[in-house]
Amino acid sequence: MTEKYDQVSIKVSEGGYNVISVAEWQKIDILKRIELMKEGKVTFLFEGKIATLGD
Amino acid sequence: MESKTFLVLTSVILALGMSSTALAQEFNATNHLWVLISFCLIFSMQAGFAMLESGSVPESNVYVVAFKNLIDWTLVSIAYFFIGFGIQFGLTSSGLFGSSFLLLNGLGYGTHAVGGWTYFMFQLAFAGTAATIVSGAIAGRTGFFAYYVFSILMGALIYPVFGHWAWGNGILSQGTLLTSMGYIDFAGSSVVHMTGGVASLVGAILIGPRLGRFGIDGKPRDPPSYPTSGALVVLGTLVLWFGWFGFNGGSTLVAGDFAGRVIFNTNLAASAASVAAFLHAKHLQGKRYIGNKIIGGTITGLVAITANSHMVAPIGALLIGIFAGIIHNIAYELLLKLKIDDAVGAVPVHLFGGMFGIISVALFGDAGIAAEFYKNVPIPLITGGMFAQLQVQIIGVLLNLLWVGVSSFAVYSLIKKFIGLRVSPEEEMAGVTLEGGVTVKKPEFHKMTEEELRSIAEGKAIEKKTMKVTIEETANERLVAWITSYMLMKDAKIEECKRMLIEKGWSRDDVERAAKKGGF
Repeated sequence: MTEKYDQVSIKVSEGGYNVISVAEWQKIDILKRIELMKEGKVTFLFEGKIATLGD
Repeated sequence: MESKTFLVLTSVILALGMSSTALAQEFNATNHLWVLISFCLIFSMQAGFAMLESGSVPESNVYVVAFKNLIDWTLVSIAYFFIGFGIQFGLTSSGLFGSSFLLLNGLGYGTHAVGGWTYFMFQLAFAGTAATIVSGAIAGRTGFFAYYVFSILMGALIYPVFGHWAWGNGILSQGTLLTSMGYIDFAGSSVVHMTGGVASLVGAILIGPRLGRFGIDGKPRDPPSYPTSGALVVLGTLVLWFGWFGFNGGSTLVAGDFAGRVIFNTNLAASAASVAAFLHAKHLQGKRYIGNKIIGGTITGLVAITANSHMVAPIGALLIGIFAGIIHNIAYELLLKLKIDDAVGAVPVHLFGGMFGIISVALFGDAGIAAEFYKNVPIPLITGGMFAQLQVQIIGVLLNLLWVGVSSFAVYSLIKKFIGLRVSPEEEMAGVTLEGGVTVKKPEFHKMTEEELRSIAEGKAIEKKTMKVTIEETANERLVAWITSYMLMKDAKIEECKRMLIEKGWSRDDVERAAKKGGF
């Protein structure tokens, strides 16, 4: 099982989001990334759609 | 004779930022009426932009794109009243920005080329145009609040500062950065259009393309802008063209035959650009996006003639239009190649068209007509020839790129950090709304059952079709632990990763299971 994603959307404020590349996502501190995911602020995207899990 | 004197004086003020108290004596009702009518014509361009932009986006975004054109006018009206006009036309001490007329204090008859209030409204129309250019380029993914903030700062700071450099002509002005050099931008190819175009380009890059705009192979997906209504796009273009007669013609500030010359040149350049863009797209670009190129090429012709419509001969206007149409088409393809998503093609039109217009002052400016217009004012074209004027024009282009590029980058970056530039992916796919959130139609995703979630967490295979679910929707701690560890292990040592996850509150069993299932 793998995850495919080419962009990541991160919630910044109520109604405000940024879309960043995978490279930018991986530059974010690991603990911060975990925190963002646990808070449900991260959406992975693949080819312009919300990424699916698995392939 | 009297009106000719007035024409010369106002021309000097407009083009070179020089001042004269004698102007206060030269007002007449006809000129005021002409400028106020011109303001109304330019205001109608807001409607043109609203039609053009909302006709160029998918149906799901028509509503909000149209609203953005309304909102940016209201915000710029307020911001320009508070400080924008003062920064642009107030007394300059350093040549960089004005500092009087804040809240319009001191504004009145005799403070500007026409009465102060008339002049304010006329200039407000230009500020509103610069701001509204941006809304189209970043349509379809930008958050409404983020756009609010940018519009305010555009009207209060970004636009007026460069406007001061090029047009700062408060009655007590000592000469601003560009005016003192003899820089000529008659009606705003750089002040309005390059400013809007550069801000659009920076925004389009920082905000990023609309989701799915470019395929995995990097190629744009057709049609490039998912137009909702070709009729609305054409009508919007014609309304813009109509408004442009006030944009350029009104910039004479005098109701006379010079305004007629300006309007003639404006119309000829746009017509030539339209035909050139069509023929170029058809015969040299494989008919790609031919409709978009006719529309964009036409408006690029209008943008390009804006800086120089008062000082070119008809043949010059014709050539400017032809080159503008071709430049538009090349820039249009360039942006696609660079994978920059400009939803309505604002950058090729306003940035590239604006730059070409400014350079055209030197390349196509007619010294005889310029001398007739500027009389005894020593502009570089008359005193030093084409290359002398070209040098100054290039400096103006570079300063615009520098100032607007840096300042809009700073504003967008702050918005990105503290507010977020975009809407959520769900909202973007369903259509951006005024209210925020998904209210139109949420894309359908399979909602995982508890049993399926448990299966994934334990590493059991489930059918592929059940995997269509967002991570947010599967707020299951065990699953997130698995996904998180799997991803993080790609750029962190496994033991370090496990330790951090455990420190963050994950159970050792979950982490071990996740690590195992992740193949580490």
